[in-house]
Amino acid sequence: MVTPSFNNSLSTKVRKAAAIAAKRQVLSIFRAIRRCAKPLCLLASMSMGLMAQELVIEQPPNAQAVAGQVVVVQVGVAPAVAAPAAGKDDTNQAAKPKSDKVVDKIPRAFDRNRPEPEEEVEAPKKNAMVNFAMDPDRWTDVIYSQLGGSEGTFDQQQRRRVRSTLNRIELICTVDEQIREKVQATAELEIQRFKTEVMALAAQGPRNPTQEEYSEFYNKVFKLTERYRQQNQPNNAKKMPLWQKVLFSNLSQQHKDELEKDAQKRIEYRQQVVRLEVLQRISRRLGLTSKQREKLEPYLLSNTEAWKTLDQAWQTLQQFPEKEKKDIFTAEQMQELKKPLEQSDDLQLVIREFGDDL
Amino acid sequence: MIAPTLTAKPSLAQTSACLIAWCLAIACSTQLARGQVAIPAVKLQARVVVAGANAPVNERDHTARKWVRGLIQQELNAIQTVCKLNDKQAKELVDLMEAEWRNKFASVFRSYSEANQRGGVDFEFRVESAVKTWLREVDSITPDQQSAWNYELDSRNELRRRIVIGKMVSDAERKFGLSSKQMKEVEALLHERWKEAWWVMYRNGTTPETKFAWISTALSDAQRTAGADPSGIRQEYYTSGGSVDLPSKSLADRFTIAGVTSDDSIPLQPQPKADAPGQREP
Repeated sequence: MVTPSFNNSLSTKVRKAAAIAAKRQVLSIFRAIRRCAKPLCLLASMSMGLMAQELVIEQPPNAQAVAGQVVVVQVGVAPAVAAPAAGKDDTNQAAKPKSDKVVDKIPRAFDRNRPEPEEEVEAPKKNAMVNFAMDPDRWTDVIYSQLGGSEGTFDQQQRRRVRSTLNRIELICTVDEQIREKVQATAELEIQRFKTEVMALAAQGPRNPTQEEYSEFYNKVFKLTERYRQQNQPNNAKKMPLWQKVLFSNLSQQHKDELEKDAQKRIEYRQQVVRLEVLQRISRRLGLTSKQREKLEPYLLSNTEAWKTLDQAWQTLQQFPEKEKKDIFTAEQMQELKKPLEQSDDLQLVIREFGDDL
Repeated sequence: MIAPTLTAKPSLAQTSACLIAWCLAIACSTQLARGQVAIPAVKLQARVVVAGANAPVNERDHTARKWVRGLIQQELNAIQTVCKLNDKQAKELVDLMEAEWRNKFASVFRSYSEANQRGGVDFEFRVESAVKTWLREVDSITPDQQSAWNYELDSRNELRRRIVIGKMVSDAERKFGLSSKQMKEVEALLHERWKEAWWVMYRNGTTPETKFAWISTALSDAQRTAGADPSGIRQEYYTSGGSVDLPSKSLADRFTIAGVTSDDSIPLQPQPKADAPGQREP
């Protein structure tokens, strides 16, 4: 029986060619894998990071993602209950450090959910005023609130105040650019110094203060803010802010006198308005006519202190000599003047303004 | 009994008193028919009279009435000083006021007794307006007397204007850093823009705002650039109580002007009874 047979040399050639082709195929696949190795590794790490709470990633300690090398990453699923329930009981507390340890192994550059450094949370005392910790930020807010706002408004207020004062002074005398800059720089320094003092004081604040601790610390806050408030009080030359001292030291005596004169006029204007208001209230209380008010107006100027409030003015009028009373008031009004002022239970809005008298 | 009274068009107080009495009579007769004890007639009568005569409903209402009477009495004194009324004019005016004051100020009493504070009730303004109207209604008062009184009112308004504008200028001085010269300029600018509403606002505890646009012509370039300081060092707080600048007059005393008192035929405001709920001893 004759069977068809192939040429041996030809079949060998075909086999060799097939082997070569297969080798090439495998090599090209390896090359492709090598090219994709780095991005794949990155992707794997990132997804691992996102699932860090649930996944346990084990990586050889010396493994590094080098271009062109495949990094072996072993991924396993951790028990789902371990992370959320951590810290509740002893078993879970034991599980937690393991998880943390593993998360630490993730290259920090890839770890988006890096754990915050743990703070030592002081347990609130039984007699604490508040059930939350008063951290320095909260104390800072408390201190600035004593000055009528936040840190931001304090900054804004101070800078505006300096600018406004300089603008006002420039209406009366010339302030050259050099002095202006010097004053502004001094004011800036003062602001920063005050802010540093606030920060230093806030850092000393008790975390969970009791009533006594709070009062004690509040006294310190009051001292700091009061010093600042006194600087802003008008006619307080001794405790004038440094920038004002710098400004005045750079002005001539003539300019100083002019400024002083202008300040006096402004003070007088404000006080006159207050006195007129008191006169109006007295007029309503006694039913004065325009002529009677005209007669009273000179008294407003002669004794300015007595006309600051309705009570003071009422008492002053009661103590007027009889002759003067008869000249000004009618018999009914004199009778009315003998009565004390009534007091009301109504809520009254009181507004205090701290003026800048430069 | 009731039918003839209704046809004669009785006043509202009389009608309401009759209706209440009628209802009570029906109720009493029903109770008597059931054999129950009748309510003493004297006590019933007292309640009916107090309710029908626009009586003070509570302490605040009572205080408001006293203030209004005090202010009216002062206006009468001032009118006499300024206008020099004769006896006939005085009698007509004082009778008119005594007869109408309760109805005229009913809304004031209600507003004050229902509000938590005086804000919103301007006693002075309401009394001034009412007195002006009453003066016009008395025919015997001459035009010269009317104009003298109007001059007096203008003088009061001028004082108020000076106060409110002065406060606004003081406020602007702090906000914009004005000099004394600029303050005078700003004062003149605000006088041109004066509104009566500013006084009402001020009386209620708010200084009207001085708008930048109103006074910008008086400011320097640097001040215009800097603008207003919105965060001045300002403390605001409420305090309970204080001296009151309103005079008060008892509800039992009649209005008087130049020795002439209101007619005895005009009923006075009944005093609040001690036993009545929400009322106090006079």
